[in-house]
Amino acid sequence: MLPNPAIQGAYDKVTWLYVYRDFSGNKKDRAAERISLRFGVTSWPQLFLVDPETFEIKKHTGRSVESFLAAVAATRVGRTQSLQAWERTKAAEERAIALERASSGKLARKYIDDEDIVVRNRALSLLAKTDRKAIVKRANELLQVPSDPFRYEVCKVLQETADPAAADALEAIVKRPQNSLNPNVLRIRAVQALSTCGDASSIEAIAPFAQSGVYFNGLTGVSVDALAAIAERHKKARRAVRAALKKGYPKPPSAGDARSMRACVGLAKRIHRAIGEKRPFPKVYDEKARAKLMK
Amino acid sequence: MSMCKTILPFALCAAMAQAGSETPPKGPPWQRDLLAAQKQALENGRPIFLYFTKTD
Repeated sequence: MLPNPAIQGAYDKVTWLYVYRDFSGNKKDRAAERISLRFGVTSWPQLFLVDPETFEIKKHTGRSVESFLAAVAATRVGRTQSLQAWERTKAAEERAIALERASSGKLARKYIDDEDIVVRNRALSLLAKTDRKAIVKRANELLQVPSDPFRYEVCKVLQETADPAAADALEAIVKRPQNSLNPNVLRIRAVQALSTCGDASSIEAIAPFAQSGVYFNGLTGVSVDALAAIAERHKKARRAVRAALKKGYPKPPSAGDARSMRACVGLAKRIHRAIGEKRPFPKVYDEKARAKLMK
Repeated sequence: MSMCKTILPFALCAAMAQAGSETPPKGPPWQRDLLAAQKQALENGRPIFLYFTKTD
């Protein structure tokens, strides 16, 4: 346990900031959430070095001493006499805290285009509670904001409001989730939104994920469900959805891997239901059964 | 040198062993407040090392 000679030499090479979230929503947790929002952190743990002036992520350190020390040695930031950057952060923190305390959409509309990403996130959360139309109206533009938590929230509002005008931007995210620290989850959120906003033209973007056969990835099942929801709402999409889903029956794992088999059969049954397959699901799901179902 | 390579990974694992705890791992001079950390880093010309963790 520390103090540890292996990294003691780095104690004065960086400023150490520990950010712990318990999701209680209390004052401490909200402060930790604001730091997470500033850097787009939505999965844990995350360890990285940032420039204190710009908050640009300079290096992900990894979790071994060797990778950590190498990242510290390779990261240089300029010394500055100015505390302007600190003053900007302080003012932004004050705006973000004001938004946390606000209950009407007025302040949110004022700050939704703020220069600071934390303030924008807080404004968006408040708009999601008070004025979802303001988000829907600008959905395409808001989906371009390079912040995962911000885009998750926009996707959630779109899923709830089912606005077809946002489908193109959502499909673009599913195909290429740019500037994301967590592209798989961003895809999941966009696919969930497409389940209510999408139509036949969304099938092309979603199908590769429904067909991946990766039964341990939540994106696969969500994609299957989204295609089924699109087929349910759009008669013209039904044939294409059925054809796409039939290709998604997953390859059975090697014998003896019970955990994988359970997950595999779970996905196969999910596809079976989504297709509305009249044939009963086979008692044994193996290569032969899979080939029959795919016909 | 080779012994050092063997020991180091274990060392950081020990340092990070309290991940998921509200209390940071012992040793480094941790800050908990972004503004305090930013001010210190700017004044000393150092990067900020952020360690994000959450409740288990």
